[in-house]
Amino acid sequence: MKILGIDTSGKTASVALMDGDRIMGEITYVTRLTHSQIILPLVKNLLEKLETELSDIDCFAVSEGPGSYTGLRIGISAVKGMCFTNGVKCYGVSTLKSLAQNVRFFGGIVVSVMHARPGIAYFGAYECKGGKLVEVVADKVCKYEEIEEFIRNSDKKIMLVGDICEKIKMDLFSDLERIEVAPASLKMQRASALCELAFEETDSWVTGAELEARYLQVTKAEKDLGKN
Amino acid sequence: MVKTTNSPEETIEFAKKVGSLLDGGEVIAYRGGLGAGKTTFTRGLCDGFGIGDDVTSPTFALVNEYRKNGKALCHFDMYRINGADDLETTGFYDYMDGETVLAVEWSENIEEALPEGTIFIDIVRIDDNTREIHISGDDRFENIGD
Repeated sequence: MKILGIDTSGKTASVALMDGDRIMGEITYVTRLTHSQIILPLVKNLLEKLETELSDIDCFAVSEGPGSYTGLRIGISAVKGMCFTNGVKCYGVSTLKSLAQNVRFFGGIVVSVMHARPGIAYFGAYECKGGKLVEVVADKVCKYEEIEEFIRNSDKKIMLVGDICEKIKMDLFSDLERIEVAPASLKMQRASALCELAFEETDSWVTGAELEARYLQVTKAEKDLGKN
Repeated sequence: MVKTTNSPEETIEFAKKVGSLLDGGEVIAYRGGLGAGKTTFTRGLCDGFGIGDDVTSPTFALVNEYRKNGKALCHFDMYRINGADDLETTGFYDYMDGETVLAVEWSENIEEALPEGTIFIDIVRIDDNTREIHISGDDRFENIGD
């Protein structure tokens, strides 16, 4: 079974191919170019290096959000197109969960944090149990204060992951040693994490038409939170 | 500050001076009606910032991106944008990365979404060739009209 993962949810562009239970190849880099310019050439490049055809792919795993509006739609549209052409299924993964997947053997709670607006973050938390993630806080948009409250009220070791993990650690928890930041190779999005999660959930694969973005609309949330 | 210009060329020259003072990451909100010269001004702004002057109106595309030498400027037209939800779906917020300059025409339509520190450039049409350009929101442009 071959799963192709595509992540365009943030500043990193990432593609990965999983064959059975092994990652055969992955390309990830931080880019200032728009994803629409690089993601399909990246897919082509990876498949060529691995001597695999697009028609060999059994499932496309993609980041469904939250993250960059334009980035998410580029990845999701590309996957929908490839699903329609090849008549195969896909699997949408929460960006926050895929970040936690990177560090799922941490003996504590993984907190995924991504920039949404100044002072407002996308936030999710997972407990790690034998290499599987168990959701503790469902994906949400909130002010930094709520993240601080959750972490300070917890007595567990915490690992922060995501594009603002260093900022959250420095601004809110420089005094707390039990709050750690994920290492450089694991703190940002990786398409291999999408593949792993799709591999675990074959019953939840959907058609290209059913795939949807989950933006966690910040504008609506801002109104509820009260701006500022 | 206020600067009066008497031709499109003078407007562009002035805008180049403004552009040369940008560091990257600034949000520039234009206010001015049809034909005021917002796109003309942006031509000079882009040139002064170091990205060249090949700027066209973003009315159709909603946003045009210009990149050169590691610098980037995104030129928006909010004429057709109605409300905060509409704005969010354009990906406007994705561009606020602290390095890209955002130049926003018809900023009146997204006033509540403009961040702190926004530089406001009001362009008032006095007659066919004459424009009065008001810059507010940032001290660094105080003396460039001299």
